[in-house]
Amino acid sequence: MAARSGSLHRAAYLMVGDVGLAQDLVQEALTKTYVAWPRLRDPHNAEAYTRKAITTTAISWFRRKGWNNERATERLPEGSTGDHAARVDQQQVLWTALQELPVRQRTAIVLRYYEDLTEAQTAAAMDCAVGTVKSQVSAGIAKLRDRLADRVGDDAARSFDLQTQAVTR
Amino acid sequence: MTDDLMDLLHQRAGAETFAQPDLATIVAVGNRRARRRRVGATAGVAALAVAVGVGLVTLLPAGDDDGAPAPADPFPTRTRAFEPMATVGTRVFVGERMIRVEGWIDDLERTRAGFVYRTGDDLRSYVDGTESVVGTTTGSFAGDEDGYLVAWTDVAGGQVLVLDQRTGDVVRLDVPVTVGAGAGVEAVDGGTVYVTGDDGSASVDVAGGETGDLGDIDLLDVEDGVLAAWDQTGTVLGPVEDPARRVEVDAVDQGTLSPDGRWYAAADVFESNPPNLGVGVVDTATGDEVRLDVDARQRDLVDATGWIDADTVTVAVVPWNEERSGRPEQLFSCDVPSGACTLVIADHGALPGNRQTGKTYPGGGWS
Repeated sequence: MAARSGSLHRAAYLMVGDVGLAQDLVQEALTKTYVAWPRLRDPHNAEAYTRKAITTTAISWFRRKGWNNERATERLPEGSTGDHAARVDQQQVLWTALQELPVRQRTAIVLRYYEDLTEAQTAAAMDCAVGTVKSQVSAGIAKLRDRLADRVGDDAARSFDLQTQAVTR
Repeated sequence: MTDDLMDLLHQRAGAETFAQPDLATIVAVGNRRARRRRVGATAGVAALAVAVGVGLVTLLPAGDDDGAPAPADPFPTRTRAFEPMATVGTRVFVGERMIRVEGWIDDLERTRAGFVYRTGDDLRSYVDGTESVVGTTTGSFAGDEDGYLVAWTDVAGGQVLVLDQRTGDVVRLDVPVTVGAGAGVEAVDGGTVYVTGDDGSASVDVAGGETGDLGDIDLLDVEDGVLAAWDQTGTVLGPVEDPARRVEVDAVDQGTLSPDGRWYAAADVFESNPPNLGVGVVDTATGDEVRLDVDARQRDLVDATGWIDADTVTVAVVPWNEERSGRPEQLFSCDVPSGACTLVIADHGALPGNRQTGKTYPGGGWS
């Protein structure tokens, strides 16, 4: 499992947006897995168990600790010239907007777009209905698009590939 | 696919470096939790013995031939006797029947009078073939399968609302927790609404307005006075009114309580050949667990979805990569505590137009 910790950390980081928190989250999830270890011998199941623990624990932390998704993020760019610089700026804005989403929307997006899970698998990982996954992803994408438009303008937002119709599986 | 978003996620995730997990701490904390869980389970049984006095024998199986009358059931069987239920898009399947509703079903909760479903942010009530919008919510909502009440959080208004499906009346509840973006109604049980707010969980009696402070826990379910919740250390099960009698269990998944509160069914990982995810049913009084014998393969996703009656739980099996495997999603009905399961609904994926749509299983889990 330790050999897979990099993959676990990366997913956790995308969910919480902070390296330290991501490490705490993985540590907690691995502890839960360790407690269940007497019944875990297959590596695939241990990893599935840990990934599910990361997801449910992240949601629980955000709810229990009252984090409002408005944690300090990196300074927004002032505006740049040149296509590459503009692209970098837009990615920074997108990252900031992602971190400002409600935790369930952010988690659903990470599971769908980073972990490449199906809607059913995402629903199982988040302990919610498939319909909820669809609505959380849809709402999250819509917010990302709105915030991109607010911060970099409609044209730049449109240049970003944020189409929702292609995500249903 | 949203290529830019995917690129961003992969770039950001790959740009950071992470320290290796602290294995020594994991082992130390894990061992401590395991010890506490064992002690907790024992203490729970002992506390129960004190609470019921000589009634402890009622927790044991009735004798076969000792001539004594069978002891009273400490967990009276509730009247629930539902048929397995699932929804696809705008259709609700109840046993052999199908009901078509006006909106797309994102979530559904049923009561003894009918059901309430969420379509977008709207909540629609369905009773005797008639449906109407009763409210809106962006949070979770819950219904009492043994009663008539459905409650939800109106986050915009910072309040909790309750519908009585017998009368159609909607009333506002005063709750002692903050109803913010993270708040949700997690259960309605015996005329009491259970809410997890931004600053803790609480119960509110709908008729009398009495409130109870449940502390810093995240509620998962409540049935017949028994709760399932996440506390600071993990999943706990036990009486709402007596935290000392709660037991801690391994399950990392949100599960579902039986109508009498005796059992808690949740996905878990089991040693088997080959090992795979399964559904375990935990005795909420002792923490003892039995595994349900569902036909799932390695890496399939399985989850408990609801209870048909006090001894029968439904379990959904989603094949790992349903598209490639060619196997359909299936719904099983399982007897507790024997663990024997039978297939009751299969191949919903083959229903017309369903492949890209959501499927829900009212009653818990993917409700």
